[in-house]
Amino acid sequence: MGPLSNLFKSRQCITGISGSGNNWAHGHDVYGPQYGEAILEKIQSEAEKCESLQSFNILHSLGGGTGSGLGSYIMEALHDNYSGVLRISVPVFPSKDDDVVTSPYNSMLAVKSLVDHADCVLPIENEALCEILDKMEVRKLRSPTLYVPKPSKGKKHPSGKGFDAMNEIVANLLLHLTSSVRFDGSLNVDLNELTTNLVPFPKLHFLMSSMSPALHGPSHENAAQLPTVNQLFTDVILHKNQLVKGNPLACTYLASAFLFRGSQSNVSDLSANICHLRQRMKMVHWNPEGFKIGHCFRPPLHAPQALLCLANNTCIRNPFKRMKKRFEKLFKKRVYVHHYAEYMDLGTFALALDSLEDLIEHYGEHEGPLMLRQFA
Amino acid sequence: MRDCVRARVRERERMGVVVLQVGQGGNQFGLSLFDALFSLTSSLANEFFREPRRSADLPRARAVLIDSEPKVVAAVKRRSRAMGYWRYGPYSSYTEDSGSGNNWAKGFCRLGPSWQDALSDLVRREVEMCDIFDGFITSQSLAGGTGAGIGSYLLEVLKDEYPSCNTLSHCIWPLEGECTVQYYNVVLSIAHLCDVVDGLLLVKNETLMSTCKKALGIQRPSFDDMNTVGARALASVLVPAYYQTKPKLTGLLKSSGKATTCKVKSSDCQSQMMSSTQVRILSDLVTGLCSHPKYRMLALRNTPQVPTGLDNSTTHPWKSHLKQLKQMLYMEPSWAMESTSSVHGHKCTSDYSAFRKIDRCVANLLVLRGKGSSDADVSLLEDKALYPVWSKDPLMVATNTAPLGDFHIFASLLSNCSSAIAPAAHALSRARAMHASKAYLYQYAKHGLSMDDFDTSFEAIEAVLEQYREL
Repeated sequence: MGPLSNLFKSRQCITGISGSGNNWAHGHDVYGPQYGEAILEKIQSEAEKCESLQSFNILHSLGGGTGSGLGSYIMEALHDNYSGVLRISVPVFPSKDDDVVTSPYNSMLAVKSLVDHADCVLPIENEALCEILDKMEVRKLRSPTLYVPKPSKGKKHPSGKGFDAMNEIVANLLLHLTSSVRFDGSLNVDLNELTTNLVPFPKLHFLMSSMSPALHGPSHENAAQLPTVNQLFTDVILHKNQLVKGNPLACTYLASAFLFRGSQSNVSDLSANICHLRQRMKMVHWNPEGFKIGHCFRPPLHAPQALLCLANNTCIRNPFKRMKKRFEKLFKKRVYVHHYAEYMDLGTFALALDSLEDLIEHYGEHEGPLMLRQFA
Repeated sequence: MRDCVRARVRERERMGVVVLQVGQGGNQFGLSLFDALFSLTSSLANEFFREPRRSADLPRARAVLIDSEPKVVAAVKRRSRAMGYWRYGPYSSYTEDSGSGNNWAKGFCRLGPSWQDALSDLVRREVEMCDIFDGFITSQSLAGGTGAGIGSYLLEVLKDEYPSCNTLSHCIWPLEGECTVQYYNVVLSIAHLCDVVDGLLLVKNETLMSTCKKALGIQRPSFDDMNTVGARALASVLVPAYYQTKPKLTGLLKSSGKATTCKVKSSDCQSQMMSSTQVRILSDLVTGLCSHPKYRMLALRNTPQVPTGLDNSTTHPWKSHLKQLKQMLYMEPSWAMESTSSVHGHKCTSDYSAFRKIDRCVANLLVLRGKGSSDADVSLLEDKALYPVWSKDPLMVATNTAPLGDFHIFASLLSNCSSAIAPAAHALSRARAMHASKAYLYQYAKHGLSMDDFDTSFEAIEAVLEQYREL
């Protein structure tokens, strides 16, 4: 019904009526089997229209019941039915002030599915998006032409920020991620290449993402305020620009990708910046040159150049640790557990917790002391 | 024109070399190579271009373009049309839309075999358009999945289908940090290519970038700039040149089969052709440089990097260039092609031999282009210290009095030498470190490559390194 309604046909939609009650088990174990076949049929009819299907991108939140529970079911079904096609998830992790009380259970259960069935996950935290928007509002006071999305009239995040503004950042992420697939460049990087380069072990596929600029930069009239390519590289590794709260510079990089959009810079600029960044980044000992560079000629709309950084970094443990803590606080007293027992075996919680602990431990194995760069 | 000369000219015009451009890097470089081949010689290099069906059309490059996604090949073809001097054939390319994911195993074990029939047909069509087929030159990057993986597979197939043809593989060595899994892909590629190609010319992107910055003053070189430098270097040994008839080269000339006994009397082109034997590009390159099965690695050095005018102030314009090339052989291997000394009146007085390791060579092909090239004193490069004792007649010299494009004087040295394989030592150690941690191995195992396959490749590279260390 919105302004982009012409892009979607009704045959591409499946809707229920009653909702999942913010219950992962309801979404996964009731709606999954109930709607699964219809969902797969619609997926197949869309997939058949692609000459070369490269990936499924799943956009969902982990805090509720549908995106989380039914989302997990669909992920598993895609793994079974389209095993050769990448499954990329862009999930919203619940924040500490999430208004869904069962979000710790839902997110824990969903993460297990992401560990087992996704090829690549780019988590988003609303808190991080809010902080990015806050900083843009501060910058706007100094540069009035800076574009900052207006808060939408609809539902707002507890911080007061409109979800539309926050979603715009995530939309930019997806546009940037797929820019090399859509446009020419000197170093094309498609989605398969990203997973090959960034995922050294099958379960360690949770990536920190950051962009510079996260949203539209200053207008073109203020050329002096436009960031240089060097500045983009410096900004993109800072903790304040991450889309998940965390400081990758304080932890260890298993691998990272820098995807540049724009034609004003070329491979020597990108390569020189990677050389500088290496001095500041702690790389895992078996991959001291673990970088992937991409260059797409076409810049994003409203900015002459932009940079996306995807990093497989051990600091991703932090949101998982927070998730585990919130889960244990709730589960200790078995609060709301009976709602889940209606639809699933309660042993599923234990399996999910084990999976999360394994993930945290596995990432922890690669956290090392500072490695001095070895000169050839 | 004498009959024998007429025959040689006709033969040259009918001879063909087919260039296989594989992957993004390979196709981008291939475009620059054909551009250089076309523009750097006054006569059409028919080995690399063929006449179109309709005379009004542009000459067609003897090329096959292969990639796992369509955008790069489409862009390369578009750019060749826009240049307006030559074109790629309309049916000379094969692309799919799958991508190879920077995964050598996906390229070698999956995509290569599934594309084999289509690629074989495409290649055969191009080969059949050569009256005399001299062999293949491949242009491929070693970092990714297509150029490295599919390229390696294709060359194995072509070795079976054309057992007696010559193959020179021009391999682009990636910049540090271009791709996370590049050391795996590089090591796997070289291990496989060593068995199937005659000569492997490794060219580092880092070296090309450094040449652009230091010698050409391009502060922020693009891939186009780097490819232009690399393409000029390769074209300088591929466009026509003529052997000098010296007694010690008789053995080599006999192997080419077309020796004459007349001495060079003047720098006139026709007289040159009457009296000397033309370098048969691939046949002579590989026979003269890579006849030993254990030594196939090549490196290319050239000077100058910037066109210079005719220098009539010195009677020995070639001396400084040859000295510079010799100096490059005495520098650290990673410094090859990075010399920034200007040509005129530069002071190359330091003899580095006392301080640096010599880049020992199995054989060298020296190509000199410009006025007086046939009279140049090449004794600097006949230095016995450069070569192992068992290497007979290791220096081949070819000259052409015609300038190379804007370069009135140009000297290239294509060497079968230890510095060519030096980058592989670093790649091997990085690959071994990743392999020991089992990083990324599951990505390769998915497509049929096991840990043992990696070990086999590691051993193969180690063996090649050991051979060159013994030089």
